[in-house]
Amino acid sequence: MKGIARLARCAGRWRFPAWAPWFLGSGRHGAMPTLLAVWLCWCLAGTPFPVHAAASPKVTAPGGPTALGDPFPHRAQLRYATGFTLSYHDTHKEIQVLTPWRDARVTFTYILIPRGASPPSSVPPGAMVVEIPVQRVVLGTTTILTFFPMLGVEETLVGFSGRKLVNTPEVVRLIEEGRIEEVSAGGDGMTRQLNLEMLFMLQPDLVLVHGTGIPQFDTHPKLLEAGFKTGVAGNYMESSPLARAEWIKFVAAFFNRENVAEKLFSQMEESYHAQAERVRGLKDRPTVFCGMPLQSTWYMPGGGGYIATFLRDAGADYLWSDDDTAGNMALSVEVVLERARNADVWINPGAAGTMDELLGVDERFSLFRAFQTGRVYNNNARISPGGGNDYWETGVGRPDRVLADLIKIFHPELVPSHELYWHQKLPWQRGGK
Amino acid sequence: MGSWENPRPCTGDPHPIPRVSPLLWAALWAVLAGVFLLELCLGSVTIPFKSVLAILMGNSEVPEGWRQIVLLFRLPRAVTAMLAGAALGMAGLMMQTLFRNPLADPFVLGISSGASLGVAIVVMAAWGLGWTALIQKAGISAGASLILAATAGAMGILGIVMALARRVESNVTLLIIGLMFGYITGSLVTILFQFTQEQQMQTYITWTFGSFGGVTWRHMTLFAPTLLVGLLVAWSLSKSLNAFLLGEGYARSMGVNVGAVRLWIIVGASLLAGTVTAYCGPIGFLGIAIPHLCRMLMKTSDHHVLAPAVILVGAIVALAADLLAQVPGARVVLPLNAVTALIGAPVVVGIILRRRHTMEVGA
Repeated sequence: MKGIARLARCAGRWRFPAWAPWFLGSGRHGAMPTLLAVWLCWCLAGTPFPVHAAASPKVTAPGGPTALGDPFPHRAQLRYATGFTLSYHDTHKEIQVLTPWRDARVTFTYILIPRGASPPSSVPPGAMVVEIPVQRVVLGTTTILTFFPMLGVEETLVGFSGRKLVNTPEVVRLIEEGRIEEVSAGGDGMTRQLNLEMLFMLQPDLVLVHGTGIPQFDTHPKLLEAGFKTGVAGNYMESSPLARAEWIKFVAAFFNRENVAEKLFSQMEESYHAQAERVRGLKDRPTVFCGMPLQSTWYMPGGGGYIATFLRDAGADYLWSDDDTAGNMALSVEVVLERARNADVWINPGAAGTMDELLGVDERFSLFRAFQTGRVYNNNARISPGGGNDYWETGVGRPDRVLADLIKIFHPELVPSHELYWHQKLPWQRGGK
Repeated sequence: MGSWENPRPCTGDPHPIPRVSPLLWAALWAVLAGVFLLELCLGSVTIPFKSVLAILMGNSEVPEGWRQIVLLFRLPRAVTAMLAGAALGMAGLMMQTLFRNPLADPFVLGISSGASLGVAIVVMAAWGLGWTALIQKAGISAGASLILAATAGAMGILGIVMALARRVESNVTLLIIGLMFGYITGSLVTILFQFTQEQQMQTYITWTFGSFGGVTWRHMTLFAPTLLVGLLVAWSLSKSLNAFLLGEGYARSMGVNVGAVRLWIIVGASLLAGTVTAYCGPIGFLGIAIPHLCRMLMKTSDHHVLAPAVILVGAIVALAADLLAQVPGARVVLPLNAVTALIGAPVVVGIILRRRHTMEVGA
């Protein structure tokens, strides 16, 4: 005790000697320069904690097959998706998520190894090693939920954020049976947060989320820091419907179900192309526009994006297809009126459920010919009791069916037997026609 | 006390209304007419000036599409901008006089936040029934409930700030209290929206960007009369406001019923700021910048002059801000609040730098 007291006294009395350089803090600024210098070094050196997400060079596969045989007999090949790569090596699979969000500067690398196997010797820095097949999954995003029942692995789900938004019947059943916990900590949609304490309790061996690149909304930094194996799904960034659906292979890789994924995807792809082929030669392409204004700004999907691809493949003439923006464009209402006044069809007007509601928002909508002729369609025919739109859920996994819906809207004579599934022609009033 | 609130030497009662050159008034009217015409002519869609004039004259030979754009989109937008600018300027003027503080405005004192809270509660409550359905079914009464909610929210916050004002000596402290109330209501709104759906939140966030374009002619039937009444109330308070400039004691000595006038000021400012906020979103900086601009222009603090000047200048500045927000010639539109801050903030900084002593008023 005495020793400590003496030490403290000494420390209290200690001063920098007169010859100490200025940055040690002997000047009239005290310790300020020292602190600044330390902080600067810290920043320049980069944060000293391990960073999981980092750009990394591709691993070179060791030559020659192993004697034990191929641990990954089912392999998937990507044909549309540009947001991730999937490669197979003798001892592991490697997934790189290239565009987790718009203008992302980071990529995420995952090394998938069989359970119990030791990680390969050449794990790139920043890569995350995941033992597969994974058995306990927490899902923080709706965008890839539909792939789980499609692959037959929905039973591995132990937690989901935003349970009330779920439409997928298989998952709803599991939720009702109490087998999937709510892991949301408030916020909805793109802004939802995860309840980390719940995650520690659930002990998942994989957490799948989406990233936005907006620090306040993103959950993966916290999850990575807490040591969870965290996958960032970027399928909502893909600009073609088939590419979005191809992320089924991303999920499948974690379960060694690539064979199922390939089979389902090929069927879907075939069906999609067959339908697109039927409308390709059509001369009559109805003109169409999308969305509705919020506070006099009309957010119109860009011509290089997901909606535009769908509309083109469905044999419609999207009025903003000349623009190659992938995201939304903020247009003034008068520009939209000028170009779309005589358009044949109006699709996806916000959350509107009836024509009356549309008029209630802004009576000037009646200036559009599509409104006058009643050809207004919205993709909100299937909404969960909690407000989740099934179009963004199971629709992601069935682009062929979405396309059939759209062809029904633009060329009903081509698909007489198809009934609109996610879309509905807006009735004038609720419950009426 | 700074010169900004010292209209002229006290020469007894009644004060003569200071003379302002009629030329200045004429110039203001001319500028207003100019920006008003510009607002009608410039937009994302190019319409020749001649055609715009023809449309305004009722000439029917102009393409129908252009007629609709000018008469159904640009005209209500221009009228909304003028009314909103005038109303926010007037509310700011009343706040600055009431608190005898050059930095007071509906935004700073949390009134706009109070209005936001009122709107958020209505939007939340309406979501249960389907918001759009509610507007549709109830028609104008839903719009009225929006105005009432915004005004009630605004009055609630202003009332609390005023009640505290009686106990707090320093106006700076009062401003800080107002700011803090703004944060409290802001966080209440955030908490409320944790329980709503994404769509509603998006609607609300876009609403906070501010816009004059959301008011249609049908909304105008309620929006315009409410603001006109509010402006008239404010204008009619000019004499009492002048008395307030020199302190409540002085006002009382002049026979002003301080309690009643204070209440009228609160009601008037809340009605003006609340209504604008309900329809156009919380628009910043106009409320604080416009009264200062007018004092500089008119070189007086007499409300008989300032009130009409604030209405004129407010209309001009709001129209100009809206013009900039629409980026003439481009297809994109900017959030209005970004532009008002860009115009308003330098004005405020300039005023503070030019009249450093105004900072000490009431402190």
